[in-house]
This record gives sequence, C-alpha cells and structure tokens, in this order.
Amino acid sequence: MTTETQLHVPDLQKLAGLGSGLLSLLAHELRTPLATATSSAELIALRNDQWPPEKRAATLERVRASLGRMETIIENVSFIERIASGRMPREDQAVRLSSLVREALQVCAKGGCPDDVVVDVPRPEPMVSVDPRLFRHALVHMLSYLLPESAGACSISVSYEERPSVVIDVDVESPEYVRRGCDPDNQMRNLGLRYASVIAALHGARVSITGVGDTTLRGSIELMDTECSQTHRLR
Amino acid sequence: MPCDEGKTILIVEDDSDLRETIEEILSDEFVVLSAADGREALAIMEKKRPDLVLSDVGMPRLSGFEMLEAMRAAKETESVPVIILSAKGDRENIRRGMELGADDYIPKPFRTDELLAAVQSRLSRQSAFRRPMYDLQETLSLSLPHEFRTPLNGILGFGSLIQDMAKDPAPIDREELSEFASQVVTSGTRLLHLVEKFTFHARLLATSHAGNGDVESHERSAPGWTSAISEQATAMASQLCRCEDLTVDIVAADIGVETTYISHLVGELLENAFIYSEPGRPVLVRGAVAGDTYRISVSDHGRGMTPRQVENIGPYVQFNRKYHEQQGLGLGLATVSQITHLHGGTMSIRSEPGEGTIVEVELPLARD
Repeated sequence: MTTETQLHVPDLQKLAGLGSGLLSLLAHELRTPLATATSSAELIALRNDQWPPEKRAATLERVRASLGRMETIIENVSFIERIASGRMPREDQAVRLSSLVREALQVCAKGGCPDDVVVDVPRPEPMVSVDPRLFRHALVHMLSYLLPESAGACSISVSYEERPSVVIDVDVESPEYVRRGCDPDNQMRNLGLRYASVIAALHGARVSITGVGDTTLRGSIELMDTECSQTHRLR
Repeated sequence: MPCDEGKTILIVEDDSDLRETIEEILSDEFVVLSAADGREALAIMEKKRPDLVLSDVGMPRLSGFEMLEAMRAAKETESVPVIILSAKGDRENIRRGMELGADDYIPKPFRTDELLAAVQSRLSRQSAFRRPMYDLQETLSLSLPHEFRTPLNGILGFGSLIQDMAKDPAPIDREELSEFASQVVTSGTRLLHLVEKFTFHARLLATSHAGNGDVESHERSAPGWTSAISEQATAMASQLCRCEDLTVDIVAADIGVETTYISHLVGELLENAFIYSEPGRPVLVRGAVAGDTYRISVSDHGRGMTPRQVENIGPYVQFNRKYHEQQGLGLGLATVSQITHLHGGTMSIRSEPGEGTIVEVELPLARD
C-alpha cells in the first residue's frame, strides 16, 4: 500500500531551509575522496614501473572506491535538494519502527559500528505509516553521526506513548563530546544529519540531538505529524 | 638543507583511504605512523614523539583541533610542528588552527609534490629553530622555538590567508580582511616584544659572563624616573584593562641604577603580576627608601607559587604551563634577578599558592 502526500506550503518552507548551503556542504564533503583519488592516481603515474601488481591493484581500488564515494555524496546531496524543493513524493507503507531500526543497525554494522546495541520495543508494537526506504536512510545517518562518538554503551528505544519516536542514546567519554555533538554548526555541516533531517521533515517528523547529563549523547526522531502516526492493522 | 631521512611523520586522518594514500606518498622518505583520530594520535605520541604531525580537522572521538590543544599544553609535544589538512578556502578552520598553534595548512585536494614540499619545508624550518642561536642554557633552545614560532606562524598563516583572499575572484570581505590584518599585527607585536625581552636578557647575561661583574658604580637614575615608571605601569594596566586594579606608590629618590634597568625590572614584575592574577584582583607597586637601599616591591593576589617553584626560578621556566597557558619566555623573574645581581642588590620572593606573590628588590642608592 502506498500513499502520496502533498506537502503543505509551511512544510516546503521548512524543507527549503534544511536545503540551504548544500552547495558548500557538497564541496566540503567531496574534498576528501577527491584528494584520495587524485593523489592515488598521481602515485600510480609516478611509481607504476616500480610497484608490484598487488600494490598497483590496491591503489587502483582506492581510486575506484573514492570515485564511488563521490558519486554517493553527489547523489545524497541531489536527493536532499529534491526533497527540500518538494519534488520527492513519499511512498508510505505500514511498518513497525523497530524493524526499520534493526535494518539500519545492520547497515551500520557493515561500516564498523557496534553490533551489540540494545533495542527496547513496546509489546505489542503498533504500525506507523512512513516511507520505509527513506526512513531507514534517516536512521542510518543518525546512527552514523552518533555511534562513532560512542565510548561505551549504546541503547535505542522505540516509543509510541505520546508520538511514535526512536531515541538513540550513546555513552561518550566526556562532556566535550556531548557539547560537540550538540553543536548546531557541527550538525549543519554533517551531510548525513542533514539528510536525516530533511527526510524527517518530509514525514512531518523532528530530528534532535541533545545531551543527557554529562556523558550521554541522545539522538531522536519524533513523528509529529498526526497523519503519519496513524496506525494500520495487518490484514 | 638538513637531512630528513629517518624523520617520523604521524598522519591523523579518519578516512582510511586518504590515510593510506598519504602514508604511501610519505613512506619512501619518512618513517610513517598513522592514527584514525586525535585520541589515537595522542596515545601514539605518548610512546613516540613524531617529528611532524599531519592532521585532519573533523574526526570522531577527538578532533584535530582538540588534539592540537592537548599537544600544545604538554611539554613533550608543545614544539612538535603540526600541519592541518583543511578544505580549500575553509578560512575559519585555517584561522582556528593558526590560533591554536598549527604551523601550516594544506588544502584538500592536494598534489603529491605539494604535500611532500610542505612536509619537507616544515621539517627544515624546525631543524633551523633547533640549531643553537647563542651559547645559552639548554632550556632556552627548547622553549624559544615554541615561543617565537607561535607568533611567527600567526604572521605567516594570516598573511597567507590575505594572499589567498587577493587571488580569489570573489569579492573581498572587508571585515574578514580587517580581522586577518589585525591578527598579523597582533602576532608581529607579540613577536617584537619577545625579541626585545630575549635580546635584553641575552645582553644581561653577556655582561655577566664577560666578567664585567657589577655594572658601573656611578650609575644613577634619571630625575623624574618615578613619573616615567608610573606612566609605564599605568599604560600596561590600561592595555590589559586592569587600571582599576593597579596602585602605584613610588617615592622619589636617587637610585644607583639607570632608569632603563628600573623600567625593565618593574615592567617584568608587573607583567607577571597581571598575568598570574585575575582581573579584579589588586596589583600594587611600591617604592621607598629603606635604610641605605631603595626597595621596590610588586605584589599581586593571584595564583602564587609553591616553595619549590620559587627555588627553581631560572630563565625560561614557566610554571604549570600545561594547566595555565601563558605567552612569554618565562624570563621575567630571571631578568629581574639578573638586573638586581648586576647592581649588587638583593631580591626576595614571598608567595603562597592561591594567595598571591610579593617580589621585593633592594637596590643601592646613588653615590654622591
């Protein structure tokens, strides 16, 4: 079952705000993989004759991987721009947030994030109507922002008490890490978090990164839009 | 050109592909260590001090700037040169890096020869700094590079940013230009001040080492010296916005010391008093005849010193640098001691940690 949602003007304005500064963010994000690709290519040109085939192959692989990353970054920014300008319709389905959380954790585990995260889910768990592909992307990006800072435990709770929400808590080493994670400038400069924010906004949801006490960084996605919080019984 | 062979470069970059690429670029000429973030880098530096650190800025766990701050606060790593890898045109990060004590920056993406040249150039400069400039104590050659390097890098770094602005086809942001120019002036002024301090102290030492013993006994302070010293003290307080804290109570008398030396002596003591005390705490300069000597004292209600710190006063020792970052060669009290000694005077220090410090100097009165 899919639904298309017409975006209201106020939502478009909010999305447009989230899409500002994308060009400079794109330029910033591209620099590292571009540096890898160009420097690696230069090294191949300079040392090709001296290198064994394995080394040449490994360097070529780095070039390939960097170009792939650049492609992904451009796609992500282009995606954000489409959402921010209201040209990205949602394809909603009835899903359980916990399943999207688990899928997002699996994606993050491939990238080296811990795979022993505790997920707390209410029973029975109701369904919500969201675009599962987009919402999972948002969760992956939020986890990618929070988990690298983790020095200890990470726990996720899915709640439906007031509004459907996913809350991710990570224990960090010091208050400085909390401060850095909550810094609005850092958040605006993080492409992944921007991605998560526009997807959330598309769903009428809110993303927030806050500190809890001195050493816990909390990220949450809360579905504010009552339309999105309609539940569906499985037939 | 000093030989760079065997020099150790620590690469700090969270992107593994870029980190490996840089390792490859540098490994032919240098010993290369690498870390994925600032925390890992500091752990490596505890075991092996690199000759140069090449660091990204944005990294998880500990950023490049946080790592740089920690390096500059530790005696073992305060003088290790750091080159930051920044995005081209990211003036904010470049500026912040320079302010924290980075030595240079390389914008991404970079060419292989650009990276190598920047690393080699920085290592060459570091070797030149380490060459002994004068036959002075070992601590001088270790602390000078850091003290001079910071304002020098400020001049070079912000000057370079101004050059970049001039080359950029985009309209120049006049406010940003003005700020960069101010930073150059501030760094230059600080460097000049340091050079003057060092030169004066070196001259004092040369006078002492040359076997001249005490300075000429016919020395005499200039008439009106008390006004000059009062004005000097007030000007210093005004620069630091501490006018309300300062009290000057100097009684005129003929002292057997040239006014220049008195000015340096009071200047160094006052500088210390202001540096080591918080705004709002009083600083008192007193001068009066005491028997057959003239007693000058400067007191503050600041950090104070432990008995051991008082005992260990020598040139270029700065107390608790790790915890209290100040600028300046640590020459102040050593210079005062040298001036006093050269004129056959005495110096005493009374200090309580957390309470404050009183430094008293007794100088001979002028001979008739």
